[in-house]
Amino acid sequence: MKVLGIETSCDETAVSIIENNTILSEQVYSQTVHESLGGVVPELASRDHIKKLYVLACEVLDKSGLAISDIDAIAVTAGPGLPGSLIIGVSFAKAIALMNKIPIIAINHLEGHVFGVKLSYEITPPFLALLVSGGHTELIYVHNWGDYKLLGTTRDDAAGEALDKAAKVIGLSYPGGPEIQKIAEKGDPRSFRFPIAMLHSDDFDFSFSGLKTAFALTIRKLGIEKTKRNLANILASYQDAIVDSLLLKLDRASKKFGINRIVISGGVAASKRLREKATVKNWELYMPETKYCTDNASMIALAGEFYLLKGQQTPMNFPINSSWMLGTPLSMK
Amino acid sequence: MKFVSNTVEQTEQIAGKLAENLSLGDTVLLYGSLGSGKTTFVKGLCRKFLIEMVKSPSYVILKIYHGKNLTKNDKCVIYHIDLYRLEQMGQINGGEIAEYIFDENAIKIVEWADRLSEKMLPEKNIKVKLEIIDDKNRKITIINQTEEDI
Repeated sequence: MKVLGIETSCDETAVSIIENNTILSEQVYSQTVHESLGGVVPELASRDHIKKLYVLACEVLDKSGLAISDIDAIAVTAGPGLPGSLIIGVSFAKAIALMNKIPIIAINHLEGHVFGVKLSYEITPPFLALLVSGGHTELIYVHNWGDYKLLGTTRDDAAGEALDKAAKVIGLSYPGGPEIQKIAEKGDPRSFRFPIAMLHSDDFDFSFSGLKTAFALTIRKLGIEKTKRNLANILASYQDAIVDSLLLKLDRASKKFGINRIVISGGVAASKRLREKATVKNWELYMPETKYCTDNASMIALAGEFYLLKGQQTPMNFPINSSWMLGTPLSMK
Repeated sequence: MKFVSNTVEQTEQIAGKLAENLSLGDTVLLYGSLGSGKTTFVKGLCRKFLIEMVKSPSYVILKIYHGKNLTKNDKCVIYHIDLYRLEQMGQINGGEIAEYIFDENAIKIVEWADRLSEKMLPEKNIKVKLEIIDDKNRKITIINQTEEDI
């Protein structure tokens, strides 16, 4: 089955065509907030999507040598994400589906990331998936494809957000993760003590707001000169506090459910330190290649093909849901 | 009004007190650097409306909560807006965010409100400034435009 996937939930405009779990062609366009001037970002994101989506769709069809009439179904992200951005993708997808009288399947963005691991590995559930990015920190029990339980999520900031914001405080550029990593490599992660949040709670939730505050206070207390001299040590310690709290909860979940097969994905999964520390655990570990850790449409198309083969499609009047929780119905009412 | 808070709990309490006097259409503008207690303040405020799951909207910019106003025994919608990511845009002049900030049928909480231009400030606003004194202590200044008690 040839499935056209569309993803516009945040700042990436992405289109892909897959067939039998294989990518025929794909495109991702990353919007850069910095380059745009004036106005409001969410609205600009939507404006950018509407310009790019058609162009990318044409390119993807061209490269695959297919015509739109060859496509068997459309898969599109319907949430969670920025409402304006989601609406662009969903409207575009509905138009194509309507025009070609083909099925449409609404996909949860997080479920897309779960399927995304198949782009890099052959893997069979059950497994635990940790999705960590600038906008997400979710720990998911994948019983089977299409069958999930959300074990835990962040109570405040996402893990990537904690990295981005700390980077900002000391004048590093966005995204903060790779910048912090570079400097932290020369530091000693045991030199500063940062709190590991939710260490003593027996659930699988995360919290990074307190850690971020501790970071800001440390910098403030040290002053500019001492901060400069100790920067590698501070960042190495801070980075480890985030990585450790992620791995701690994964470890607990792994033991509690007796599941050793672990997937870590999302933008923060590109973190070298997270990879290092996860690798030494006694896990059967899967961390997708970086381009499939971040937002893409192939993962959406893959999820779409799965549902299509199960004979499922979404009625044409489906809404978007900007805070669609994994494992719950798309429509809130 | 000026307060000094020396615990997370106190900051939440101060926010809770402010929450009791809020009504639909009010906009709470939060000013303060990273780690000054904005998240804590918003959590304390929202708890008064029986909203427990308050997460940072930095990434998505806006979160909508459906709570309950206990003093008025009525439903209450809260917009939790976070302009952190919009810094590169300079001051914000309208667009999609304006629809929410000027909505009279909700309570609006805006983090990093210094990103808003003058004309984006609703008349009925309450400014909350959070400052770090040291590790534990925070100075919280509340300026209530609706009562004109500057």
